[in-house]
Amino acid sequence: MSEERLFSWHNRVVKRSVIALVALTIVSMLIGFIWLPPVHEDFTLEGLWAGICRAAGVPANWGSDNASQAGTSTSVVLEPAMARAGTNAEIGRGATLALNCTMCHGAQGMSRSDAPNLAGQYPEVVIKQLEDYRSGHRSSPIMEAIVNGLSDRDVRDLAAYYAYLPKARTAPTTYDETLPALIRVGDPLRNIAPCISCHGGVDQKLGAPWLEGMPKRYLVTQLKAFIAGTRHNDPGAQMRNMARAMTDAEIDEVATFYARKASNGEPGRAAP
Amino acid sequence: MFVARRLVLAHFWVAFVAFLGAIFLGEWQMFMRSPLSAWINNPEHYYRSVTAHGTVMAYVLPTLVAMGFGYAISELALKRPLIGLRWAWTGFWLVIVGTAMAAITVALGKASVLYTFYPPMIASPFYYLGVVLVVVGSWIWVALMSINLRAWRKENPGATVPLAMYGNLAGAYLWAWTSVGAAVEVLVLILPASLGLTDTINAGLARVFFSWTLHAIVYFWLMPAYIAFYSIVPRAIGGRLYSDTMGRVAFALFLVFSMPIGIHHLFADPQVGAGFKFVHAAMTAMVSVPTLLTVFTIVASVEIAGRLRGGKGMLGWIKALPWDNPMMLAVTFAFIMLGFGGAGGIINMSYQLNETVHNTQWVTGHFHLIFAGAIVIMYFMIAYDLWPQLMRCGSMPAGLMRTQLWLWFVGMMVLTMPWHWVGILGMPRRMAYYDYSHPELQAQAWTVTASTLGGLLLVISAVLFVYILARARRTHEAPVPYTFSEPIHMPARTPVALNTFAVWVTMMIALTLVNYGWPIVQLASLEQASVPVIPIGGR
Amino acid sequence: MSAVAEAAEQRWAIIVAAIIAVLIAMMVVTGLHWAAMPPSRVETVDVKTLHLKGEFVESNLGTALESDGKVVVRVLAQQYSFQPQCLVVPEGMPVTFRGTSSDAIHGFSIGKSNANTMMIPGFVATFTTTFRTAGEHLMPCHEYCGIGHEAMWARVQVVPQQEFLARIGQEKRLSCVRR
Repeated sequence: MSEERLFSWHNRVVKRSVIALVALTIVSMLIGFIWLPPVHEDFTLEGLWAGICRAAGVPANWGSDNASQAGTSTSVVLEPAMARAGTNAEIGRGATLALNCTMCHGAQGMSRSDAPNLAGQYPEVVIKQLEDYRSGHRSSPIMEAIVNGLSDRDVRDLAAYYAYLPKARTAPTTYDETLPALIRVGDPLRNIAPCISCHGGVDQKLGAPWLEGMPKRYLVTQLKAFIAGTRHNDPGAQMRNMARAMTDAEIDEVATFYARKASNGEPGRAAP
Repeated sequence: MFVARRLVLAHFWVAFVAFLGAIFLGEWQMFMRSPLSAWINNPEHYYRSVTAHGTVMAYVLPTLVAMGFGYAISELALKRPLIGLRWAWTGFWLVIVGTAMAAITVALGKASVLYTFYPPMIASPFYYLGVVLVVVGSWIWVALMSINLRAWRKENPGATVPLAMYGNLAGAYLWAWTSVGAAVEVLVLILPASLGLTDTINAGLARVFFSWTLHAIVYFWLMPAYIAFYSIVPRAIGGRLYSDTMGRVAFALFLVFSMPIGIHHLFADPQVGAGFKFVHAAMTAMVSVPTLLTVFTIVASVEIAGRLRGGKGMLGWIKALPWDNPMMLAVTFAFIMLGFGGAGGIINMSYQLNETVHNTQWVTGHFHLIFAGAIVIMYFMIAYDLWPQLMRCGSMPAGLMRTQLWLWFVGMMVLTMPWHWVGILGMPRRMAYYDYSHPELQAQAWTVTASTLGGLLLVISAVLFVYILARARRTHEAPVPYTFSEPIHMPARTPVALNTFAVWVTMMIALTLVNYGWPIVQLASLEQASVPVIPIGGR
Repeated sequence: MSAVAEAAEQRWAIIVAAIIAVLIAMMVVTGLHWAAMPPSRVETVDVKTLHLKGEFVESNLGTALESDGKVVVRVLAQQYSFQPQCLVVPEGMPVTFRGTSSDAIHGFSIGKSNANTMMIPGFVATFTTTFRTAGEHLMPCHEYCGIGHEAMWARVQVVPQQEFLARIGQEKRLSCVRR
């Protein structure tokens, strides 16, 4: 029995199996690549060979590139590299530049007005917003005037400086405290995702700011601006989609919650 | 006899304790998203639980059962002490360390990416490393099985390998090649991103690699159950195996056809061409062949048992079957679930019908019915059947076992049938909660409640299973010598191709290269397919 | 005995072969007769610049009536919404969906219809379908895409053809997002 050779054309089982497998493969290839595709116009446009290539998954272009370039939400491409901490030199330079911002955003990035706190904010957030003011994708008469003179390097250094400052909040949000429902679980059928799935607490999306301790008036104004579409620098309408279905009462509740987390002595001003 | 006794016991105990934990998680998930409960406080906890449930049930439980059963078969079927006992313990501890590492990472909420990984989302590297260790531990088992068979062949030149061992090796080789897909995905694509060495990942390619593993892994799960069908069931119910050769053919066919068909999981994906989707669909039809052969052979073997017990006539043998024998009950339940699950699978794999159910609750229903139903119920039987050998505990309590099996069967049907139904209606899977106040979802709410109740039966059954194993006490009598099923007639000679693996392994690798080679090469060459990674969790 | 067994096995082998042949024939016939196949156009797109240029810029998303008379819906998936959040499609006309993801893997299915696709970042998912009856459907994301996955539901309104044509005449890109 051990004389029976395995890899031999005279081995009946092997011979039949190999023939059957090769036949099956060839037949299914023929059906899948040659017979079925031509029924679909996607595969017939440029002849047989192109059809086979497309069936094999070689990319082709089926779209009409008719899109107007107008109407983009932002020109910033968020990169993970933007989120890195700055060097001492960058932070120092940023501190000097930031003297220009203290009027609204406070001496240590802790706002005493309705402008947002910037202390400890993620660098890519500050970069993105400054870039958007520069390119006109986010509008504010004051900010547009101020960012006008900033270079790319200035923007990066400012972001590095603010990110370096201690965070202007009492504590990060966690799911186990008493949270308003929208922050915790959102509302699926109105397509409102939980705030904590992007803004910290459970998950933190690149480019999404943390919000604790922000002046309540600022948060309310921004949410309403997203709803009205007057603020539209969120690519893919990411925030507009979330805010759109929120009621005034919900906006107030969410903003109040975040504003209450202002750190010691520093007012999230409108917070009661 | 039985130098691997403690080794096998260790594998089984860890497998079943992990299983017990994971089944509680599964039931908790069902409850949390049913109308019986308020929405979960933190949706992330739900996905954390899904990740843990999937990781344990898909990777840890079947791997440990296959390994433990494999070591037992090696000793009991080859009738020689296991070679490489120390290596086997090393493999075991690798699996344990890997499991613990993955489990802790998941429990800390650092890996809520589900057991299917889903890059470009990226979890903590410890999760992936844990899974890698589990797989590496199992590769040691593959090597040991091969070495043990080789040693036996040397002592018994030209002899026919016992069927149980043949199936065992088929499962081992299948797993070795199956796990390569996910191993490449994790080692080449995911880990570099997770360790921060790169900030982009080819998500489309990662899915193709995962599909390589994801479908064939099902057949790795299934192998112990099929080995039990062929080599335990006929003996346990007092019958004979109808055909030894048919068993070998089935195992060989699994080797060839289970791998190169995974793209049927990607029918709705935009990165794979229509041609390969069809080829994989056709080959998926082929992989039902070994199952159809098995159904025939096992039913015939059961009929032999019925007739040996005096059953007469067309259907009279069914009445004569030993229905109070837990094994009889289990194999019946397994085949019923395999039948429903297989029918559902034919819909999933068909080139066009898949569209109606893709990624809905239907899919969850399908793989629970096949794996947790038909296959796991046989895992129970394997443990029950080996327990007297492993524990020297005398006979097992048949009444309790029957109760446990009934609970599992009824629970599984009540769990999965509603899932199939709402899947057709389009209910999406893996959601932490549904808003049942919407009329469309309101109409589907009862199904989630029903599944929760089915799940409850499963939990009770699982507890009972572990209880039955745990209450076994050592007796003084020596265990009855363990035997495998006898074929009704052993062929004078087994063709050498069906006594070895070289041909089938060659075909398996060749067919995988044909069916996966081009899609992988071409996706890897697409620059735009590399997309930014999304690290999960807080900063 | 052995001859009887062999005959039975052979009969069964023929049945098995027939089952497989029927399965494959079914796929071929549906493929030929209804030109039905899974969505299979392979097309890549630069995920980083989706919002800057090309067909997935914000102003181009929604339903369009192309110059060749075809209805095309362009949709973007992102954590955790589809843009637009509410789609309008005509009843009884072929509608081609073109979608992609700007971050994780997403997917969607529409109500009880057969519209169903994955959305993989870096690729454009395309398929064509026809909605038979007017009405509103839910459109959930059906692939786990992160912690907010359960909240990612859009809607699809299927409107009578006349109404659709009238509305799309007034707007370049149609959607039912509240403004």
